Amino acid sequence: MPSALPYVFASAFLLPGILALLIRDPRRSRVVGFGGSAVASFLGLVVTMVGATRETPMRIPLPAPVPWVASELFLDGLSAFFLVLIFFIGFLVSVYAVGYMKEFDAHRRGQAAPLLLNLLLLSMAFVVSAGDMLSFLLGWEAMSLASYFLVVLDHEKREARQAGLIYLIATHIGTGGILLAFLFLVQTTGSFSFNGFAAVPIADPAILSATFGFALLGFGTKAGIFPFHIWLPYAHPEAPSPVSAVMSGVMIKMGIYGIVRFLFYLLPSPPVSFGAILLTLGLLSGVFGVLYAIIQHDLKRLLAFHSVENVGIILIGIGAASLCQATGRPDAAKLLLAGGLFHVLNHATFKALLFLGAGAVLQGAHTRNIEKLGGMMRGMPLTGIAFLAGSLAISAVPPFNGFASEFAIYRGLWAAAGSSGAVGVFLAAMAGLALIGGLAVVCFVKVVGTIFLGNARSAQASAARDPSVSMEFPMGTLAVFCLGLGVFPSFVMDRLMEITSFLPSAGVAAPASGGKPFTLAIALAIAIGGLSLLRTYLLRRNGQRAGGTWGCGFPYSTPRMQYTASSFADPILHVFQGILRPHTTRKERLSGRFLLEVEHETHFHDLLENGLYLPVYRLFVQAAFQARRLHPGFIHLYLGYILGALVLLLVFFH
Amino acid sequence: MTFAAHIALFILLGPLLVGVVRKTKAFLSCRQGAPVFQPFLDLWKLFRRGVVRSMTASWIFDLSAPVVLGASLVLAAATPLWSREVPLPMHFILFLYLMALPRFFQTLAGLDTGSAFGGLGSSREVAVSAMAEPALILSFCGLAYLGGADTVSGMVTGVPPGRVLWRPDVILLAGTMFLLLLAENARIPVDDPATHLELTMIHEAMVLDHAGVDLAMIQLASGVRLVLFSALVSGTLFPEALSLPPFLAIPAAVMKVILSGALIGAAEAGMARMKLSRVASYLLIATVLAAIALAVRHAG
Repeated sequence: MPSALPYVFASAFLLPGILALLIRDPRRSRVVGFGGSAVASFLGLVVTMVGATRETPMRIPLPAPVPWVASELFLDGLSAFFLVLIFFIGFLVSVYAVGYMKEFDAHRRGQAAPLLLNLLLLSMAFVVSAGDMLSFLLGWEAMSLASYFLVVLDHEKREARQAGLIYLIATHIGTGGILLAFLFLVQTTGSFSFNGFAAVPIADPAILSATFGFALLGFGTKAGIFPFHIWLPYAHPEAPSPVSAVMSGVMIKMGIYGIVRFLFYLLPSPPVSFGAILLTLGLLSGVFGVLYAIIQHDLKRLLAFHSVENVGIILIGIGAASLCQATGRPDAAKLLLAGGLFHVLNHATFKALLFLGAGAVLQGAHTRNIEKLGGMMRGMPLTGIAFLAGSLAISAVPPFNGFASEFAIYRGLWAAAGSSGAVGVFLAAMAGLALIGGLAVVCFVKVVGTIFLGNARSAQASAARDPSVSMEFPMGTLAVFCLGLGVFPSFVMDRLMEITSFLPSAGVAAPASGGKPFTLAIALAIAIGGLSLLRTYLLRRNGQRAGGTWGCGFPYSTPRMQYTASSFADPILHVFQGILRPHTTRKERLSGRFLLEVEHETHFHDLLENGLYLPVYRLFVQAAFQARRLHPGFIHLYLGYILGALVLLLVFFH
Repeated sequence: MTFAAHIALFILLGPLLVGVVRKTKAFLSCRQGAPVFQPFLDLWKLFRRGVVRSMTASWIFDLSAPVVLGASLVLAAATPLWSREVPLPMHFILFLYLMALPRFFQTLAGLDTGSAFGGLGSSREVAVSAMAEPALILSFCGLAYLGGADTVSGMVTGVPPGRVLWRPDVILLAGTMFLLLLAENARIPVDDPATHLELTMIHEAMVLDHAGVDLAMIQLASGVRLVLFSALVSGTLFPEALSLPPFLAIPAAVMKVILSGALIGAAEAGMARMKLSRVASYLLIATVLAAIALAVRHAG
């Protein structure tokens, strides 16, 4: 029976997608395509939840893609965890897409979206359950291509085409890295399957380092880790919002899956340096991600940079776990790895929620520029509440889920710092994590404040209304999960402690005293609820009247006098200007002695983008232009090349 | 019963501490100043007043004052003030992160009325507290090592009594905590709660549009938070006072609060407010001091 599962799922995802292409009526096509994907995802969620109770890993043989290599699906606890993630977010996003994708009804290509989204979900499920190199790479490539086509769905826009190109280059450099890493493993072990890789450890430290390095390049690019994050702020904003939710919530986690699979399963007993590198990259991603997010005005670009930040937090957990494992602190390692994986789930929950909320805002106000929004809590109260829940979660405010996983990571770091050894490293990681958390609060107070509060800065913003039920339902569900996972984190943490049971532990699972989130939530509810009642009573007794906002004695106040997102971020920009490098241009128009107009513009350049990637890119383009001279179109010359190649082959390999 | 007493003590000592600070400042600058109990009278007046509510504001504005005071009281429930037992033991990291909850709603409320002052205050408030975060966590780590526990109450009450004052790491940590107390509670040299110009303020600019009950709750909350910080500092320096029987412990707690009020007042009277751009260096100094304290602890 289990051997039929892959085929059942493949058809459950692909058939509705193909049907959606064939149906001419765009509305019906959306319902069939995305509805089908929602059903398939829900089915997958149920099956995975039921199957996850199995003790032994599940193995399902597949027909071999190449004659002499066996191919199989291999499902263990780690795979099941990521499958739950994919199907959970996949289900909610598909429901959302039924309502949202009507933006594309006018274009025929909108009807390709269901097939592409379903292909993306299916290929991700395939990636995390692949048991050998070939099926993994097949799934990986299908995932990359499906997401590429979704990014360029709106290909009439130049930005979308550019984002697609950057993404395509980045993802294939990544695939190249992963392929090389696998080939090193194949060369060492003589096997193509993951079980074979794990059986024989790599003895040569140089090869081990090379394998890890290429795997880090490949998976790090997909995950959006700091030096390889360059594609993420381009691709996420250009994709349709439900696709951004899937890409940011789930797809970049495939990179995390790969790193965890390599570090803890395929490369047994990695050296200390691997963990140290990951921890450093995690801290860098976290700080840079949140700093770049603070200065953005484009809502979806801002959220994309927060993915860089949160992947950083996840990596702090995973890297420190590896460090602890290598230095003989398995208790802390287990807590840290479980915390990192918990943050994977939590980030998927709140980031999907925030992208879906951004989609609702975008649909209502037709702009991603948060400087043109404002006061939307009045027109979109439901979206506003859901977005606020997501913002509290991503800012790691207890009792929401973002805090729950960071707390697990903190406890792991604290336990690691408590036992002997490099105390400073773990304490520095704690300080870094604290700074990241504080800056995230800055960013999301800015976002919620400028979008939903105050006065509307444009007519479109004040006209926006809450979207349809099919879009409200997923946002509401995700908001409930943001709070629920924060109040009852042990549901997930206990499972994750089982999944990470390959790391031996001695009594670490006991939650620290006073860390009970449920008690805290009750205490907060009683205190805040009681005071709200008191306030209502006193207001009724003392009287309340509405008046204008106090304007310092001046009679008028316009929406233009509010603090904007840029002015809000200015103090942070001022402090970190060495890193953020603002370029300011000022143009003045004078008439005689009088200043008529001042134009003041500030731009930011990504340090790495200008300093590293663009020069390398230009070098490649130049080299390509030079190489073009080699094929001028003379058939004789090409025959000569073939002859030359043959001669060289005979000389060297005879 | 002890729960109610604990919370009530925080609520009563908050305005007292603010009054003592103001009186000390007035005394040191050769003014007479308002009576020490003036903050109580102010609160009483505010609780009886009606409210003018901005037409721009949303439900977040209405929720902000209860959240600010409620969350501050929950934090107070985890802080040892007069006894080794606290009603709600809390991990120190949870404690630190819970401080973000009132801040989040307070700063959102500042933006909610659409006033430039509110935005100005909110923006500065979150920036200052974000930069204070590393120093806070490092000094809490230091206190946790000192007390040998990871709950807030455990780390303060676990400090070994006697001669603790003369240890360099204790002095450094108490100093850091005092710097953070000034920064986190809108005191000079970071913020001036008594200035007459909104443009130079942080906290007061943010709450400018709150009136009546809302303003009373917010002022009460800032008093509670000030007591909370001073209880952490004084608890670390004089842990013996927490082991006294209740009829002695409560007067001792009151004395400690009055003393720290005098100290804060003296510090404020002797300093001028910094430029906002200097606050980052101030907080960096606090971070470095905390790091040195941790290094001293591990070296010695």
